[in-house]
Order: sequence, then structure tokens, then C-alpha cells
Amino acid sequence: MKRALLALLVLGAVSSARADEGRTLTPYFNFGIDEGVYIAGDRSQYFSGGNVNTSVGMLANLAERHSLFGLYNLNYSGAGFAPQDTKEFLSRTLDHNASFEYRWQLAGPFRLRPGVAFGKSFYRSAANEPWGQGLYDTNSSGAQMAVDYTFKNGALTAQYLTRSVKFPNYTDLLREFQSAGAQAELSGGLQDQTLKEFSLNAYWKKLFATAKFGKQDYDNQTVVESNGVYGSTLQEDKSTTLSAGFVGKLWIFEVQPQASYVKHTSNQNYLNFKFFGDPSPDFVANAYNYKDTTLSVPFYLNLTQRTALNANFAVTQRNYDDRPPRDANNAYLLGDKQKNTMTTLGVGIRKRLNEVAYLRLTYSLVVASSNNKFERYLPYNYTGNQVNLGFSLAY
Amino acid sequence: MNKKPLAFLLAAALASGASPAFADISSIAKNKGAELVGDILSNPSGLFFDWQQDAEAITPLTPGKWLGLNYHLGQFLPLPIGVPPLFGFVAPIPLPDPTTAGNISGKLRLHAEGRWAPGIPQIDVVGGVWNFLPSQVLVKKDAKPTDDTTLTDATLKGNYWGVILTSSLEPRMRLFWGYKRSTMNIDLALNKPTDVLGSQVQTIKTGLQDDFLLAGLEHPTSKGRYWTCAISYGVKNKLLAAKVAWYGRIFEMGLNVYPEGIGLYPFPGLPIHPTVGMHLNF
Repeated sequence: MKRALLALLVLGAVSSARADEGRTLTPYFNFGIDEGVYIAGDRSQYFSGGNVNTSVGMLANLAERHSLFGLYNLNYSGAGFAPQDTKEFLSRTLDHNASFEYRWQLAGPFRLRPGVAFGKSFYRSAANEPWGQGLYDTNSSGAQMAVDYTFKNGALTAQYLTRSVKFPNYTDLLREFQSAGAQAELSGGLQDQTLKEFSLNAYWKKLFATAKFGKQDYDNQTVVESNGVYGSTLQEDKSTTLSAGFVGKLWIFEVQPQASYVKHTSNQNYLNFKFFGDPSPDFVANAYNYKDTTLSVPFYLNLTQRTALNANFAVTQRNYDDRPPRDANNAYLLGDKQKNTMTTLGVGIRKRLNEVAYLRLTYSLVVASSNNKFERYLPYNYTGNQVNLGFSLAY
Repeated sequence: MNKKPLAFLLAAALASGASPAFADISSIAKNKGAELVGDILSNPSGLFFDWQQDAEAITPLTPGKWLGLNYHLGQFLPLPIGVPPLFGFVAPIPLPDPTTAGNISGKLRLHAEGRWAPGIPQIDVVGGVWNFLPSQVLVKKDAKPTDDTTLTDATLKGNYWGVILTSSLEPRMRLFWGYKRSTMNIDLALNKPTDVLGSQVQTIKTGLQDDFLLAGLEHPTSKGRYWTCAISYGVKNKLLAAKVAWYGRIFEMGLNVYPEGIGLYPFPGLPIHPTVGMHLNF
């Protein structure tokens, strides 16, 4: 308790080093929240959910070319609609992330940014387990190195990062079942992994683009073989992400289109048990290889300096390379490939409250469709309506 | 102003709203109602704890003030007149909540910003109590088990205290950080066991306590009028609360959001609380 108060006092003192004192310390505060109601048409399901994202940071200028940047981020992602195969309507996550970065402005247009990062994430499924007991809770730590190159009206950033991600609560029911008894506890830690990622980010005038290459090496999880048992090959996932967009303004019109493409591959396969103890489960090779394509076009009509009407169109499509869809009875439709599409159409009002804050009220119609008709656990085909009230601030 | 674009968008929204989602409103309401009852019975503290947080005064004293007294009036129903904010306004219709009848909060400034030394922030201590006084009207302490089912005890109360540090980022922006401890107790007793969703219940003794870290911004919009936003995080129970508030010399209004809250009143199923209160600062 005393320690907490002392820490607050120090933080307060530090944060009060103002801009007019030579910008030795510059604070950063970003806050966004939205809360809404969701109605999934075909299922007569009504629920509420919200998102909270807050960042608090501090930039300390040590010398003319040297500075330190510390950032803490709290992100809560609540119940809501999401593209198929990503989450349940009612699952929630709570993430704490902290990073510390040293910024060294080299001669010319180059800047180096080595850093370290730590994270703790909590996951709560629709089963509503208490926070801290989620199967997919994680602890992560890692390092990164970024190089910025600035040029007229733009910049290019190359970054390499690595993270060690541990899943303290994860266990594998298949392994526990197959190795019941004293060996069951060995099923823990199977999701533990090391993430390596290289990315290139660029912007020029009102254009921006990103290319990202990531690889997840699992520490213990091996690949399930066609004979229904785990082999000796460790699981390895790779993903490539390409995205680009621009911000355009013409008179009272404003548009921010963005497109992205993700290619994900994994050497992991999938065994589909139709019931507990199924002696001949279906084997699906390369079940996690897919390509995601997303296009979003937010449009604003600035009625006044403070008030804008907005319309939004977004579509996300996932095409699996090898996974066949299933019928309503959980039988694979061989010869076809699973394809999910989620389309969102929204209209709303954006109100600028003051120099730093906005209020948003949005109605969205969501249409999710898939050739996968097995929906006992996750919805694939539905029409959803949502109304969200949001508030955002950046200082 | 040309109203046609708005009319078109509203028509589009209403037309698209006529989807199967609205085909079975009674079924949705029934399912949600049962879910809410389940949520409340499994965690009655959570419901009342959100109302307690509505009543808590966690913003710093405005510059130049050393003492503040706050009274939480309750919730308000935002009744749209016309089509706000384009051509209309929102009329706040006051509604009481469980803390309305008995609550008081106070703020005391221990240090004005920069007084001891440059860079030392403003330091305020805050605290308050509430008690659901109307529950005493319903209580019959001497009720016997042979009487009709009645309450023999109904105590709902809570308190909080905390420390807020505030620093100016620029003349029109102050950043505040803080810590608060909130405690709430519920003691309910009936004169005899009663069936509640298949379980025999006679007493409910529960409560909730959490240590919150909070941070926010304060921004003056005109002389004597302020706008704030704040977020607080309960470390023990991982409770989140966000608050956006506007206040003048006497009255304050806010919009509190509890993403993990139950959301029963004033909006069933939606954990957003529009709150109204008043204060005197000296």
C-alpha cells in the first residue's frame, strides 16, 4: 500500500515536468471506449459488450539525440461480433502491456529504437470462467529493434521483434485422455511458443502501407498425425500480412479506405471427434492454412466543424486452403473448401466534444455467411444488428 | 442545414433494422431477463458495486479549491427531443438509484500544485459513504417464521477513500492519477427460507472490496465548466470502469461504462449509467 502511494507520488511528480520546462518529459495519454448492444438475428441472442483501450506513456529527452519512451497499455475487448473462427460472441480478453524503448537519433535521417516489452493477457470464454483461469491466458516478454528512415513527407520503419509467450493454464484434452493418470499433467505448456516477426511500415503524404512476416515456433506442441496420435514434429505457424490505405479529404467529404491480405500457414493438422471417445475421428490435413482478405471503407460527411455523419462498409473473407466445410450434422463435405465472409454496413454520427475528444454513435448491420453449416459451438451464418456508443481521446 | 442526408441515413438504418433480429423481441427479452436474474443472483455485489462507483467522486478538486462536498443525485434518463445533436437536444430526466437516499462524498486538497516545490502535483484525498436507507422501511425485525415472507434485515452500504495526484500538462489540460479502495457490504435476511430459482434462501451476506488504480484528463471548456474522462481498474477483481463527465459550479453529469457490469438499471442489459450529482467546492 505504502509502496503504491509512493509510486503514485513519483509518477505524479514526473508527469508534472511540463512542456514549458524545455520538454524534458512529454506525457502521452490515449483513451478509447465503446459499449453497445448486439442482437444476433437467427439465434434470438441479445447481449451487450464493450471495448476499452487506454495507453499512458512518457517520453524523456535525455540529450539532444537520445530519449527514452515508456508506454503502458490496457486493452479490454468485450463481447461482440467477430469474423467466423476467431472468437465466440461472449468471449472477452483483458491485456496489460508495457514497453520501454531507447531512441537514438543517428546522423542524417536514421533513428534506432531498441526496446523491451512485457505483457500479461487474460482470456474469458463464453463459459464465463473467473479472470485468471482462462485456458488461453498468456504471459509474454521479449525485445525488439526498429530503424526509422525519414524523408520528405514520409517515413519508413523496419522492425524485428521476438516474444516468448507462455500459456500457464493451457492443457490438451486429447493428450490428457490418451495419457490419462500420472502423465496427464504433462499436457500443460503445449501452447508455449516463441514469436519472431519482421515488419516494414511506410507512409508518404496520405498513403500508408505495412508488410509483416511472422513465425511462431511452438516449444512443446507437436503435430497430430493421420493415425490420430501426436508425432515428433513441433508445430510451426507462419503468417504474411500486407496492408495499405490512405486518408482522403475533399471539401466536406472524408474517406479512409484500407485493404489487407493475410496468408497463414501451419503444419498442424486437425482431428474431428464427433463424440467423446469416437474411435475413428476425421483427420483434416493442413486444417489451419488460410488466406484472409479485408477491405474497409469508412466515409465521413463533415456537416459542421464538430459534427459529422459517417457511413462504413467492411468485408472480411477467409478462404481455407484445405479444410472442407461441414454440414449441419458435423460431416465433412469433401471436394469443397471452407469459405467464410463477414460484411458490415454502418451509419452513425461523430461529434467532436473538444480539442482532443470525440463521441460516436453507430448502428451496424452485420451479415455473416459460410458454406460451413455446423454451428453447434460457433456461429457461422447469421444476421446481426449492433448499436454502439463510443468515446475517444488522444493527447 | 440540409436535412436530406440525415433523413436518408435514418431511413436506411431503420430499413436495415427490419431484419430477423427484431422478429422475436419477446423471446430475446425473455432470454435476456432470465440471464440477468442469473447474473444478479450469482453476483449480487457486482450489481450494487457499479452504483457505488457512480456515487464516488474521483475527479480532482478544480484549481484554487481546497475542499469539496459531493452528493450523488442518481441516474438520469436521456430523453431525446428532436434529433440531437443536429436539431434537437437531450432532456435529462432524473431517476433515483440505491445510493440516492443516503450518500455523501468529500475531497480535501493536501497540496496545491507546485507549492512545496516545482513539479510536485496537486494532492487530494477523497472519500465517501453511502447507505440504502429505504431498505429499512421494508424490514420487520421481529417477523416470525410463521408470518408471511418478509425481510428481517436489509443492509446495503459502502464506502471508499483514495488519493488523487494532478499535474498540469498545459494551461487547459490536467492529467490526474490515483488510487482508491472501495468496499461494499450486503446483508439480507428473510424470516424463513424461500425458494429462489429452485434454491432455498434465507440469508445473503456478501460484499466486494477492490483496490483501484485510476487515471484521467481534466479539460476546462469555459470559465467554471470542466470536462473529464477517467478510467479505473480494480486490481483484485479485474474490474473496469470508464467515466466521462461534465460539470459546472454546482451540477455534474456523467456517463459511466462498466464493460463487465450487469447493466440492470436504468438500461436493462446495457452497463452504461448516465449519472447526475451536485457539489460545493470551497
